[in-house]
Amino acid sequence: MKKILLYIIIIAFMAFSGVNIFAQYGSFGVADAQSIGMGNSFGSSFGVLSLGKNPALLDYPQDTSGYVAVQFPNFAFKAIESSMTLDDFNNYFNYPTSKNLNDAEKQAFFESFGEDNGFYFHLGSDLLSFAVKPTPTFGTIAFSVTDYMAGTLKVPLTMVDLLINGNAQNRTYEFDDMSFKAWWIKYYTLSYAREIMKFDDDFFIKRLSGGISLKYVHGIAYAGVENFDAFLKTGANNALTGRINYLANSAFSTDLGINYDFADTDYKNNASLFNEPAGSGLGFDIGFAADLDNHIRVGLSITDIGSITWDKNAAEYKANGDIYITDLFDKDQQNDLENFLDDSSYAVNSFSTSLPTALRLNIAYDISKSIGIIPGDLILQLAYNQGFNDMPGNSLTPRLALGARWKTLSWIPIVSTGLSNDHSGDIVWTFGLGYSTEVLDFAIATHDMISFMSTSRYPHLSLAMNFVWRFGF
Amino acid sequence: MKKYLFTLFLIIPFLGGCLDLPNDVTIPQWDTELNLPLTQRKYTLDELIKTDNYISIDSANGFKYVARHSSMAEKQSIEDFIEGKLDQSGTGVKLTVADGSGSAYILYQNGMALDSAYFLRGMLKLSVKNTSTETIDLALVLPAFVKNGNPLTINGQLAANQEKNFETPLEGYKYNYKPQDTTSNFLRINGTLSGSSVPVNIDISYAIENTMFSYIAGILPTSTLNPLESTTGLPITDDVKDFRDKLKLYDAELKLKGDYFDKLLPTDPNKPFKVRIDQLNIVGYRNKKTEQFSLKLNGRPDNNLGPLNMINGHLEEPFTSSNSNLSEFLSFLPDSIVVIAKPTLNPDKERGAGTNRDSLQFGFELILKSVLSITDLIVTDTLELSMDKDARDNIKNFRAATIYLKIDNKIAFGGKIVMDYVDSNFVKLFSLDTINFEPANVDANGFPIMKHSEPTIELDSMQVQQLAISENIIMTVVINTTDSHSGQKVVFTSKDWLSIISFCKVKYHLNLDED
Repeated sequence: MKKILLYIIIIAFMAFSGVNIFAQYGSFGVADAQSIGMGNSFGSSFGVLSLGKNPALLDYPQDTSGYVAVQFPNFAFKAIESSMTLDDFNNYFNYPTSKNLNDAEKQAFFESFGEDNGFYFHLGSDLLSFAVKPTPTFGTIAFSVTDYMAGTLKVPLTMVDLLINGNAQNRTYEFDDMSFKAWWIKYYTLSYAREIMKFDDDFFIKRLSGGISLKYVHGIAYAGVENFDAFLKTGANNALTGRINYLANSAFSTDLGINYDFADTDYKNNASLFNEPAGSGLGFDIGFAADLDNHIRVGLSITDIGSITWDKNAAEYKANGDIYITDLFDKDQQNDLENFLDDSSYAVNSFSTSLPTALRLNIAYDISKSIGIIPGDLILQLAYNQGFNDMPGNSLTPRLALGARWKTLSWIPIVSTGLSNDHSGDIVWTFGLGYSTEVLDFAIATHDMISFMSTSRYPHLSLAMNFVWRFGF
Repeated sequence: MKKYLFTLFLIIPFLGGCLDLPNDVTIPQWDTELNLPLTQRKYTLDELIKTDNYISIDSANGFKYVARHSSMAEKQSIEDFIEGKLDQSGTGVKLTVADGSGSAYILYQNGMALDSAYFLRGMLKLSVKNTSTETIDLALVLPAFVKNGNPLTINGQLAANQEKNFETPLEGYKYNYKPQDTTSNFLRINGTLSGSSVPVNIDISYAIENTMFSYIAGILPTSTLNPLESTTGLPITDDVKDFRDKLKLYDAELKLKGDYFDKLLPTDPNKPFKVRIDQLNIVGYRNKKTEQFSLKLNGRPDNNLGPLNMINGHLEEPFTSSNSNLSEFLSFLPDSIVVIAKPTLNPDKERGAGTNRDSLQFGFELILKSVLSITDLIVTDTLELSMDKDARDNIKNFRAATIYLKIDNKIAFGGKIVMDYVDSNFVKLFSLDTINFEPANVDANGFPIMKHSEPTIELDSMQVQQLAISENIIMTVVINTTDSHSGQKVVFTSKDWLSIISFCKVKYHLNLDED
């Protein structure tokens, strides 16, 4: 278990170390700054901004005849801690020497944690992406190389309770909610989109486009708990009954210099932009977009269908046991407890993980074209994202988003804003600013404006910036 | 490692320049309450008290424990009894020889009758005086004494009025009274003369001296032998000494044992001589014999446990608390028991037989059954608290502790425990004197009935801190069996048991910053 924790820290450290890395992955993952500002919705994320979201939008806007687009520089970062507010944090943690809590303070400290004590981080960057639309009828081809890091750690409230308040008699503490997954993957994506069909002017659907992305995925690092089933019960006479059943996997690029205790290896840290992969896999995205009456656009896509097989420097961690401790001075029970707390780790040939498969539905309404009094271009968006697994960046919890993007005068920044829900169900207010010219589309945004203005809510640190350079021909 | 994760988990979202991030991040510390099991044990006496050659279980009588200690002294020869038994002397024995022959008779003294004997040594001394006026050639024959098929014969020529001494070693002679007469209570001397036809009177003085027999049969005079004394040390260790004057045994038996070992041939028609112990003393000694306690029969003012008769060469006499002061004797817990027996052989002057290799042996068997009472037995012990620095530092993190005990006791044995925690100079730091576990109740026969008790031990913060620096525990346990002060006897059986469940609630100061 200790090794798992170590790998959490390693990946987290990598995530925050400033490596230049980024797209939208999974239902909760980070997108580009332009999309993040609109509640992380992307009904109007066209061209290279559509990659990873809905490849059908790669062929948008239709009025471009031919272009090459390059994203550089760019990054998107998001970290959410859903346990306590910054005020609380400062109250308990911000001291030169450890604060000694009395009983009342301890109780308040415990109450500062919530049911969903999760920590989520996402960091992504397009190392390279460009798109080419040779002719209006050919469609658009794009190629991108994207690095993406993400991690999810959920600590059950029962674990916090146990740590703070101790084990109460006649109570069972269940830790099934405990989960952790983190990875660093690199996508090589080749996408193609084009118009599929045009409809009659009097039909409510005006135009239908389709797109597909083929992905070759390199796995750089992975550590994850595949299943975790544990409880601790303090019964009559304080007898301790417990069970632990967990299985975890990890795999690391040899360039990261991580050596397992059980393996006689001496890998050195040679991390770079292109590391020797620890696993590889294939995946694809498929998406459709339809222009409807009244300046409404609907997009539907399924992204990241596929898997990664981790077959280099791969290991498995396993613990499975029950304990019943009634006598801490009994040698046999002491051994049982020792064995119970110990896990076994060993090399495995390979293991597989799914890609963060997700369904995405977007509806964009260009309201400024319907209501003439609205100056500029105001687009409203509604998005529904449904993940099909809990891989990093993804969630079985649906994510809804409402977004708006308002472009007025050329010298006034484009304002993006939106509302969405985070993993724990809290509403976040997104906000972004940008400029868009024929050559450069620039945006900077955050997932959560409130965290910047208030310390009395769960911190939700997010920042994204993106430069898209477009050269038409 | 966990604290780093914990810190990371909480602080990473604050690592941004736009937020009011903390300057110094430390993890708070607090007291947490842990409920932990300590022990859950069931002890049965048959696990704790193992049977061996000395301790057994009387499964037919409620599984009581029976401890046996048997000790027999060295065999002691009865040579004293037979040695010199024929020694006697006399004068004036008249032997009148007429017509060439005559006989004289010497009556054995003290009512002795000698049926047969094998002489290992002895001397027959005869002083023969010819009272006649003629010289005579005299032959004296003792027909009962035979050696190499020939009767003991003394030949001599005696002048007129001459007195002559004859000495004949008796070694190797067999004695059988039948050739001399039909009765065996005298010695016959036949005399013959050659060359004289007139009657001659011969005066004989005699002495039979220093006789010893390998076998002797007949009626031997009653004899009291020198006292036989046997001393047996008891396995009284220092621990057992604590029980002195605190322990009363209600079902004990001290069985005196005696055996007469005869070496008579199976074909011998005679029986061994009877033995009676006229004087018997059993004395317990302790403290290097500075203290003694005698076993006494009830109603007897003296210490003599006799007289006791051996039946068919065997004696087995039980002394119990009902016929003696055995309970008090055992409460005295002697280091050694001395048995002094003064045997009398052939007390009824009956016909019998013995050899010089016959012997007597005395000893005792002590049988103790686990029916007893213990009153205010105080046991003190010093236990070293061997804890390393880490353990002591850990204890310092405890703020308070309450230890709960659930005791089901089906042993009629309880105690009050006082624990004095002392430092390396044995200076008392604090005491715990609340540990009191109750003995089982007992029925009318002393058999235990399970009793439940739930004592608790509380340690406050100060005591916990002192515990962390304690080096030794001086433990004093005052032990009582059930209602011992009112004279209640209790029974310990191999089926008795003690169940102890202990668990604790501790207030532990958790400081992850220090871990």
